[in-house]
Amino acid sequence: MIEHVGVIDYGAGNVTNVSRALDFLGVNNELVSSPEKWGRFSALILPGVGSFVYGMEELRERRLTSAIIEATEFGTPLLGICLGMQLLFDFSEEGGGAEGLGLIPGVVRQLEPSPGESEIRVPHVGWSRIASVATDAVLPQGGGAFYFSHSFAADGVPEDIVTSHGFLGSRRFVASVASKRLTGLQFHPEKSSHTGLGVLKGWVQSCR
Amino acid sequence: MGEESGRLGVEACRLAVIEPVPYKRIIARLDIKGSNVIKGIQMDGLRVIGPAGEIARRYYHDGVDEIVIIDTVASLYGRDAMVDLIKDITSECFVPITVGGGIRSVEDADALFRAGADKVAINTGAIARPGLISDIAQKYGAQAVVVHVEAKMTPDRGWECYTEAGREPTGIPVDAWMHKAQASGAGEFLITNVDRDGTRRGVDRELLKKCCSIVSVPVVASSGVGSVEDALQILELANVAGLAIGAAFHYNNLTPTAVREGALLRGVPVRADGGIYD
Repeated sequence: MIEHVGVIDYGAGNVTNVSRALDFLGVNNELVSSPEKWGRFSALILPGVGSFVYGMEELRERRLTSAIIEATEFGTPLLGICLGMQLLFDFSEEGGGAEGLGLIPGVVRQLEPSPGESEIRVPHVGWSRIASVATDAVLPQGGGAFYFSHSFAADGVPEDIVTSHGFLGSRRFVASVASKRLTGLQFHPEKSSHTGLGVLKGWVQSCR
Repeated sequence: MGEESGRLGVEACRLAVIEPVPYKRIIARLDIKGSNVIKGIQMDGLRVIGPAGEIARRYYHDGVDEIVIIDTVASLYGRDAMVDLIKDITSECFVPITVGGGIRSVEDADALFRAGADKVAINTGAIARPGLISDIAQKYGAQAVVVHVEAKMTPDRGWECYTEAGREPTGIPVDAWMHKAQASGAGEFLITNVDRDGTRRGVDRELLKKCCSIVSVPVVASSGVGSVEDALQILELANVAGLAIGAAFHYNNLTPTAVREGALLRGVPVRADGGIYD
């Protein structure tokens, strides 16, 4: 199949930066906002910034939820970035609680600094390091510094699918996951300079 | 490592070093007229440095953590040029981009976010109407709204806010404004020292310490850096989240790499993998 990545545009944040990063890497891609003819995509990216509740509402309104679920059941690789990663899980506690796509086990909860570390602020915005727990084709060995911008993080995720952790003081949180053909990155690879581009490139290559 | 309990609330993690989160940022500041970077000394006389797209790429390749672009002219004509510039820069520079200058409405901000900006910086527009801060923050999140404070010391009024690229006094004290701006939803502050901007004569730590003590959101310093030591003097301050450097980069007095290496040697927490090595 000719490589053609679909970047899902559901009105939640700036998808064009993801698309520009793919353009820069020479990866054929297209912004897609309707559920028709997804068979043409060799892989999908679900980006997103902002509220989980709003994100799920927008996906439902545009009839994208079943398109995403069907594509992943078919075996199309899917990368979730930031809010996009969070939407892959079962549930989020944000805004009184909302169901996610249920593609990966876990619950999205508010990030909180450890007791006694009140000077550490949420939202977690800026460059932070991650520690990779597994060597895979996508993350740099050992870890690296990436750009984050979030107030929530996935919890209760099976250990064997967590691929890296981030740190908020002494509090550890899930920074990335990989399960079958699903990958989730809590950070923004499209905003993390060459390190981030390397992760995007690694993901694209892993889809081939 | 600590025990995995599956609950964020009780997870313990014993690390050898707990790094401050997040890293302090080394930021390139581009003051723009049209599509060129310009620089003036204390807003008196402007010199064209060169095409902004080219200059932004240079700093990106030298490992800056972020790029701040301020339109100093901020005319209606300039709006299209800025949108084009953002599209150009974000096609090859994959770090957060903050854009400011003449933003007076949510629609102005919309155009910049659509073009690819990650954050907007507002000054004159916010002082004229503080509701602008909350309007943009509600739509895009507080972390997308930077309030740019142009501070000038006056003998009788202390630190005073200026607008119009440091030309117009407002009579509003910096501390009162920063309180109000934070309460209105500002996610970050960028502090320009009007007297030192463009001079490369050194930085004013007292203004920064004061600003950091007023608010709890990140404060980014700007203005006056002429040497790596100047930069470290600011980055070392406990609560400064980042440092934006303009003239010293543009005149090649120092490079982002030199600042990063100096910071790492000094034990200032900045990210280690900065430059593009291939």
